[in-house]
Amino acid sequence: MTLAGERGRFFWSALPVAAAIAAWEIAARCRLAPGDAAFPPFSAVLGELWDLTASGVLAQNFFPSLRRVLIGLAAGAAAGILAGAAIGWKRQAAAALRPILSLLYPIPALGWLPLLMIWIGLNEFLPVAVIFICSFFPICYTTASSIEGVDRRYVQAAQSLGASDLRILATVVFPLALPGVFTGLRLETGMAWRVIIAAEMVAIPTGIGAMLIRAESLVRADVIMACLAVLSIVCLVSERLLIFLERRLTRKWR
Amino acid sequence: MAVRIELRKVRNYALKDVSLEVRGGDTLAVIGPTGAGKTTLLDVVAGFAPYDGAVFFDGAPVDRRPARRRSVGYVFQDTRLFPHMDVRSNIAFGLVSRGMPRRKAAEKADGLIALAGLDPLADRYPRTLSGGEKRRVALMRALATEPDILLLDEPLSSLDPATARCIGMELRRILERFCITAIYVTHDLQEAAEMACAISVINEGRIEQSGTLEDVLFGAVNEKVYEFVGAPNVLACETFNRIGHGLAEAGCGGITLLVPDDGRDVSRIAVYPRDVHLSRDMPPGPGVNRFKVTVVDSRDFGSVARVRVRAACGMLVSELPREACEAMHIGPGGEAYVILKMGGIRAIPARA
Repeated sequence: MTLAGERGRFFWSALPVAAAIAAWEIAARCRLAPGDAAFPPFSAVLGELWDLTASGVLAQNFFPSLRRVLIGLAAGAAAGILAGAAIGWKRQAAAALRPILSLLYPIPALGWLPLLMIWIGLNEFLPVAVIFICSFFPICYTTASSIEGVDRRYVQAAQSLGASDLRILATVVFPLALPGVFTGLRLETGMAWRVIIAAEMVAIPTGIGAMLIRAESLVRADVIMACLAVLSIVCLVSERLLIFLERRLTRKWR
Repeated sequence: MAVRIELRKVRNYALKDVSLEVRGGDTLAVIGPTGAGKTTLLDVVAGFAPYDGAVFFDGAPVDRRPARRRSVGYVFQDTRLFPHMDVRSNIAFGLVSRGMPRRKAAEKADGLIALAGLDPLADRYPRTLSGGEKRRVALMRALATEPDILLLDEPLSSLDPATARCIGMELRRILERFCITAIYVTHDLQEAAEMACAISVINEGRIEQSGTLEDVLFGAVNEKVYEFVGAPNVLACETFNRIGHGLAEAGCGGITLLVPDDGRDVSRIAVYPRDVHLSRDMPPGPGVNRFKVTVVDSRDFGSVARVRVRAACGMLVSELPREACEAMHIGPGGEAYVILKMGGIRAIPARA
């Protein structure tokens, strides 16, 4: 694509966003919606976001959530990829683990929350455990299907070259399954943020979710909107980061 | 030491009691139409396809030996180069798999790359290679581990004639030099004849005939083989008169031909296209086995041209060097003369 074309595409992507923000600002300033506090203009939300950042309140609430998501997701993804690879690669593992997976997979991650509260109690481990459960099952599932989806003819080629099962999995099958694994990771990163916010709203007194609930009780729509904006950007950035990582790992051969 | 391959009564979803033997260091060409079971046969030897019966390498049964321990190099028809590895890593894969340190394997791979003249491609990924380049890399990958047995699944199919000829020559050189036992699968008789001296014809999962090219071409044991190897020109004889001295006169569509006689009753004669010489002018000398024809069309196959001509006795195909064909300036509809080379004429005994 030419530079002019690139610019044109950016223009057409940015235009609706700018138009929506402008409409929001005008609607709020003209008091089209009932009540100032319930519908603050964009500029007020931006100002609030600045204040929250400058005062350190945002960081205080954001970083605990981020930490929980990172730890829970990393552990869930690692375990999910390992289990998924085993299920996708070894027929015996699939036979043994698939039924359990099929039974547990449909349970919503938040459904586990009450049980985990009894088992674990209200501590830092609780949100991490919820995120772990929320990411483990879907990533395990997508990894298993991606591994199963790798063309078995490559496996035969590797076998005829004398490669062991483990070597074939590590150097042929898993790299070829990476695009599918990354799709799972991307979807689950977004899901992890949704789940952590919900968990913090109902059960955990710290983090962005808890901050949202406190802002609600104080009827601070500007704070709520600022938090939502932060979440939106964080999700966007993490997805882009994963896309970038995937491209780096696979662009040479895809 | 080259390994002898033996299959005894191998049967599975595609094969029906296949028994065959390839002597150590020999190349066996397996020919047959699409869907005959050629690839399945290779898969059985490689250990990929389940089967009943027995496979032996040098007399030792290998039925329980997994594919990765069979020391078989396999050049797949679809190459199956690993798309996420560059050419060097593809070739080094087997070496590393068999325990060679990475650096040493890469060095050896580079040596093979240089040997095959693939130097500029070492760092390229398969998706950027042409069909011919992929075949070359696949061949080098299979040879890198110095296997006892090489399986080649239509390695020259779907390549342009020039590339096919080039890789074919390379292959022949390799098969001779490495003294490796090979099974070469193809549906092209000409290719089979060039690659191997032993040929097995497979059809519907059954080995119909095994033997030399001559055996298969001129001693087809049944209709199926005959139909498949129908490459030679076959002329029906209305009359067949023995004139002694191992010769007979065969009357084919008004033309009398002098043919060898081995004492059997002959209903047809066969002559391979390369033994049908074509000339624009009436050739000098005695008028034995030569007659006037009309050129129908001609097609180029690499370095050779195949010219179809119509004679009183029927259609004939002549094969001659392309340059010679071009020099003659004969086009469709033109008149020419053919000479059937005496030594190339085979009598096909009347079938019971």
